[in-house]
Amino acid sequence: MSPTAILNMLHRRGLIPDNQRDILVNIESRRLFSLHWELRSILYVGVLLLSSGLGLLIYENYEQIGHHTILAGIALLCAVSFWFAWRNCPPFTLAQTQSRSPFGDYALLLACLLFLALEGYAQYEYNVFGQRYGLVTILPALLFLGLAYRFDHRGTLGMGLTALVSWVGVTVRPLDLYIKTNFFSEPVVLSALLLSALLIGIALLLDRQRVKPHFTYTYLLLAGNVLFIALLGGLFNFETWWLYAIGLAVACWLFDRYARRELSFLFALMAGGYGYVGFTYIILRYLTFDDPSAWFFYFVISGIGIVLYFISLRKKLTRNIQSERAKE
Amino acid sequence: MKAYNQEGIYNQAVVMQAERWCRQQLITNEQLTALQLAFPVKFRATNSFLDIGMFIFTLVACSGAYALFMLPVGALLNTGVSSFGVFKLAVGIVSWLLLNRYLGEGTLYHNGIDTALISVVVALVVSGVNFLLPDTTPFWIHCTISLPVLLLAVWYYGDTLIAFVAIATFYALIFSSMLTVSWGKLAMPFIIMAVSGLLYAAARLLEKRLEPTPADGLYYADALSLTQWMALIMLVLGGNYYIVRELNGLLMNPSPSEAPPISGGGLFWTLTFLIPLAYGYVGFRDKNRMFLVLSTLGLVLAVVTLRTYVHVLPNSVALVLGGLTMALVAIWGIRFLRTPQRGFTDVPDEDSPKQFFLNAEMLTVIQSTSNTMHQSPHLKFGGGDFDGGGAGQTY
Repeated sequence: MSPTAILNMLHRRGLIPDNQRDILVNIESRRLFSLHWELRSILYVGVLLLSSGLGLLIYENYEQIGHHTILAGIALLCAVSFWFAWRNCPPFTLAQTQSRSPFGDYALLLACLLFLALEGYAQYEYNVFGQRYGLVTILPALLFLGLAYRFDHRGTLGMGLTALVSWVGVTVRPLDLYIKTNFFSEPVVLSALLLSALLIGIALLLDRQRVKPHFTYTYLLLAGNVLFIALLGGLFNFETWWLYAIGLAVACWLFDRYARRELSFLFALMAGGYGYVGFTYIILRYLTFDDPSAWFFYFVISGIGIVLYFISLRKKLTRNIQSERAKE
Repeated sequence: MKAYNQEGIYNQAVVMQAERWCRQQLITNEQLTALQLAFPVKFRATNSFLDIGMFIFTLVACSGAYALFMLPVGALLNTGVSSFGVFKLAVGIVSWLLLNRYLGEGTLYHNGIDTALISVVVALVVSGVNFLLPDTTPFWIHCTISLPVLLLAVWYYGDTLIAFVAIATFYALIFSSMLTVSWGKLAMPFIIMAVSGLLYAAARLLEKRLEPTPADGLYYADALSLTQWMALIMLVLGGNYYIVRELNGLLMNPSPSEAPPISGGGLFWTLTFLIPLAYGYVGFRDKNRMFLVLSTLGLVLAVVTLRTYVHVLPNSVALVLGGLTMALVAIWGIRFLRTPQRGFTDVPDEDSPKQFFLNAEMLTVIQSTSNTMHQSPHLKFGGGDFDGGGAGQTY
């Protein structure tokens, strides 16, 4: 149903007076068609393709144009992008802000991606960091996190956090629904747990201090998934599974509380989903029923249980909307 | 008589529009409150993440319940496939009656739980009907029998998921029945394109027809919009050189390792580029977002198709050139639209799904960080494979 149709109906029923209807009809008919997100998506994909193309290019050796020319060209492009982003950088504030140019954010993104490609190549070809592989990931991690705060750039924050978790040996590829690490090694699991718990703690602390509070979502999403997966990995693989089970329960409880407070239900979905997988695993592994119908019964009851949990959150949302309306 | 409360859906649309006007300060808060009272909405508040969770776990509970029923009944029915079909049908119809009572309360609308229950009921009925057919029944007859049931469900529930399955079944029917005739393979691309064009036209016509009765129009708005998207996508794919050639190769008997060139290649090359360009023209002319988005995607597909068969550049250079072109086009577009041109602007409007774009950007940037960091052999970490327990549950 078009806005004009609604408007005419409301006018016919006497709920909108003549002069207001004329104004609204005028506004609706002259409403512009926005290509804002379409253009930015194209620009964004273009930057990603460009940087991955250049990243591949440096591993191929070209005799005619000269290998060093290509390297120098990419380094120059990286520097120019960074310089452009810096020139349009907003003054630092703790709140959310915006680049002064519509292209500033994308230039920074390109600069960071190219930096990563160049750094990887420097290690591959010239072995700049020697055997200290940790340095290869911690360096961009710290750089990107710093840039994220200075430029107020959530993409760079995501990149920095990704580099940071890969420093402790966790690869995150969300598009493949994939987190890879050696979850059979307890030290790796523990360091992933420690790092993600630390990141979540820092994020909540900064959130409370109102330091870039819009970053909290990114922190919790990335570190939260690593935390839950590491807990499940521990629960599945190690002797001290019950410790991880307790950790999982605490994490679910915390994420549920946060979701309720902020009405940010993605985190409730994470708590419910990961919690359910862990709980079901414990039941399947350590309780043995003879009758298969007991298993099916478990799925009915537990499924309904989780649905009731989500319903309780929905009720919370409804109450919130009602109290907002009452305030108006 | 339909499953959901149509008046509620109508009222919801009115109130949402009024809220939009109120945010832009075109109507006063008092007016909004008056409208909210005049158009009461009984549906419960909703949130897409909660909907996803409720959808998944309703399916878990239903599968458990179904298996629980199957245990004793399966032993009794150990006589053949068709009694199994009768059982499924019976369970389906009983749950359908229960579901209707539940929806009749009029508080649930596209809420995860109801969508899951509708899917379960329709799946039971459709598979029950199909189980009644003998084993030797050809695939296209299965499709022909399922389609009316699915369409009935779409008519009754207006559900997008069922509409998706119905459209997929429709195309499967076209595809499989074309394979039964000797000239079918040759005519396939043209039939698919013609059928897609007709399907799109039919959906548009129905949309227009439903305009005078907005309650019906709103009930089917999502399903009709999905139909248009799918028909236009199939129209692009039906004319795409890569799809036609590879599908032709796959359908050969025996299937060659590399699909041979097809006759009428020139025509399909033209269509590969012409259809997305035509979409772009229509999109700009009618200010239609669906056509604009599909035109962009279609052009990208066309370029990728071209590169699949014409190996002129190495991958890296092609990526660089492609990325550069896209970035430059976007930069030009953003600069050009600084001042509105012919009704187009670069200023974001409310209709844009902002959060969706932010999430998509975040996921892709994380992905490409991982990819770049693990491009060179010396930077690899970790050893054992671990296909994350439960990651699939939460995204």
